[in-house]
Amino acid sequence: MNGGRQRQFRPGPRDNISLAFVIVLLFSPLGWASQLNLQAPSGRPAQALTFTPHVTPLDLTVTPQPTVPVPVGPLASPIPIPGGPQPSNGTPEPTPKISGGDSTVGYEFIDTPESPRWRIWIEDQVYIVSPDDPATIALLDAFRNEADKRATAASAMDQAKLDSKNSDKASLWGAVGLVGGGIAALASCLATPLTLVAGIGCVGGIVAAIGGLGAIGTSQAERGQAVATLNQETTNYNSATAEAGRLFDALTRNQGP
Amino acid sequence: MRGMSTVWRNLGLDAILMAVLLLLYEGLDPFTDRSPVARVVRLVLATALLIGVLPGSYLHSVLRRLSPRVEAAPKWVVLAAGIAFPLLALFLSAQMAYDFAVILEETPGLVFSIALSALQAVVLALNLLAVKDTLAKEMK
Repeated sequence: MNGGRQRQFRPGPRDNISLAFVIVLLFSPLGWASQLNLQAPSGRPAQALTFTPHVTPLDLTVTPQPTVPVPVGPLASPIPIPGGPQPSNGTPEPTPKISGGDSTVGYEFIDTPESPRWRIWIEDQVYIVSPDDPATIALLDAFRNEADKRATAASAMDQAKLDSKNSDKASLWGAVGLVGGGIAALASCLATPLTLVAGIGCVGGIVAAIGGLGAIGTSQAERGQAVATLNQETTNYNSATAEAGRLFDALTRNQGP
Repeated sequence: MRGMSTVWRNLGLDAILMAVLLLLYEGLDPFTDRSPVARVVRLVLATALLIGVLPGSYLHSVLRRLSPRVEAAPKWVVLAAGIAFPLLALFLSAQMAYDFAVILEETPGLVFSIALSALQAVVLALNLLAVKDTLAKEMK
């Protein structure tokens, strides 16, 4: 009492303004970060997403062409063209081009004056298929189907990875909102007297904390969905790859050297 | 009851540093398709927040000025929050580290999430010490 300088905290207007300042600084990046997610210039694709399977929409009106029986002699068996498909010399490019799969496992229709043929490939193995018997046609159709399934699965896997990454970041932003909102609410709701600014800080903090908690819950659910999709599509991808390889071998055996 | 205001300040610093790390990561992540303007905005915000938490800077002094208010709060609320919040953030950042290591295989994200996990571990340890001191004083 005498001479003892006991300092008691008395919140004043400056404290309330400071609190509002903290809340604004703490949570403004949350809104801006999501709102400013602008697209990069088209010439600069993201490195993580540079893999886009080269899938050209299949024009189904042309598919009956392999069924046309054309008498052709036995073709040269696996043509070693490293690096995937390359246009053969002297062969005019078909328009429109029918192709599918990707650079690792895929197919392409080659329209030659002599016969309709298909170029199929797995990694660095390329094979020209002439669908001149029902067995070959069936195998070729199955191979094309598996190549398309594989490319679709690869695309879905990329999307699931992106979703997983985004939901991880959203979870952490939610944690920032929860923690920051929680402490802001704790400090401002206890202000005596509860001024207007402190009241706004109290309500804002509670809203931010609830929003952060909701963001964590939602993004965790999305992450679970993304991981499940990724697992499923990985299974599909591996299955399609194995099946395409089996069909490729069968086609090469079926047509012979 | 200085422990409660210490726990509250630690949580405030934790939230701000988490925001700084997230903004830095989003601004520098080479695997994300984002415009240069959006990256620069994030980096400027991260720098502003980082400068703010330096001792004596604006956010640091704001936290210091507001922390005495927490002394009036129910003790169990502050102490439980001081442990639960860093634990939750540690779980989320560890999960992110797992995703970057196993699913995404992106080194920058892995480094970021490990840094974030380390931050949460440090805050959790500091808060556990503060809670222990507070409870020990209470027992006397």
